[in-house]
Amino acid sequence: MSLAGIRAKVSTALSGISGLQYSSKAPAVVNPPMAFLALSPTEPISYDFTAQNGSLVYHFYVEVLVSMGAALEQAQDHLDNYLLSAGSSSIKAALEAITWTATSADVCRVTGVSNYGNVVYGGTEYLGARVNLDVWRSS
Amino acid sequence: MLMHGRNAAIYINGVDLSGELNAITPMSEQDMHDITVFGHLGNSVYPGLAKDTATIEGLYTDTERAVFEGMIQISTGYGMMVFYSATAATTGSPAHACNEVMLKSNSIKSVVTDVNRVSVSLSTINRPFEHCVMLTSRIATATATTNGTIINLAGSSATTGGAGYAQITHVGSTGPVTLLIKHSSTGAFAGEETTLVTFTAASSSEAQRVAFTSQAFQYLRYVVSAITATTASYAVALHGDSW
Repeated sequence: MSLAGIRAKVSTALSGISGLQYSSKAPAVVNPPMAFLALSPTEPISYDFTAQNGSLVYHFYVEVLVSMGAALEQAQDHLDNYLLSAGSSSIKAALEAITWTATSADVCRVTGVSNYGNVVYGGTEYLGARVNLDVWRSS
Repeated sequence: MLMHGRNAAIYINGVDLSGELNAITPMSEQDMHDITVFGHLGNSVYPGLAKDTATIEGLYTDTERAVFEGMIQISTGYGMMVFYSATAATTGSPAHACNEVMLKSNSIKSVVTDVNRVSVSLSTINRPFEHCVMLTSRIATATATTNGTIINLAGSSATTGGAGYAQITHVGSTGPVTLLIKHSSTGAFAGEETTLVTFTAASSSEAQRVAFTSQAFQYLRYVVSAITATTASYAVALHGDSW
């Protein structure tokens, strides 16, 4: 599966979370609460997990941004809902429910959450976190 | 020239497992018998029969599972070929091949933070791994009779006796494919070449070893001498006993 195909799968998964805007790529404009998929800047892809240009891993993250609003406490509660490991608002649960096909990626794992805190995006400050996602594709 | 593990290819019983596996370790070993006698100042040993083994590590997939779980309690071992190269596919690259390997152990490791992985141990049967030269550039595919690239063995031409190995990884519908290894003392391949090895016509995926006792000339190539299948894919290698 192409990167575009994986982005589409993730977008479809995120679309199931009520009230959350989503994008398959980093958007020009954020409409919070919003989540978008991006490749890890430090190591986007790990190649050669098997011989002859075989399995590889895409290292993505889902950036989740919520409005700072009037009270930071409320913003944290709002963001925390998306970071639960289960439930209808859980990004982890939505991503792990993706059905990959034999001709696409094989399996994914949500490895954790990082970068929880204030995020300035497009000149506006949000409260955000990154849900880190590894996607494996076999040969 | 250095060769990288990412370019290795592994074929077992006509199945290309390269995309499932990430480490292969063929190990040559032999019995050592104690021949120490009075007067020796240290232990002395004399080599006995070879008892080669191989360990394999990889990812737990349907293809991998079908091959190695299919080896449990088999009465005849599977043919195996391991190809090494500096690039993804180079004719003339070195390889190890064995007529029969049997499964010694097969373990699956499932860790919560990783994809499932396997570790397999194999034992060779009757004869050890044989050093080969690849006559195909990894897997070759034919839809009609064809000749492979000519390989110049140079200083290794004087070998007498050896074996051809074939891993036929795919045979399409409507019939078999027949592979040969031809050799020439001049490299012209203008009619002076002769057949060194004739593999049995293959109608499905399989591995073959065919021995020869004559001298192998300096120049060799594989030949698809007959094919009625729509397509066939194969890897061919040659071993010389004196190499």
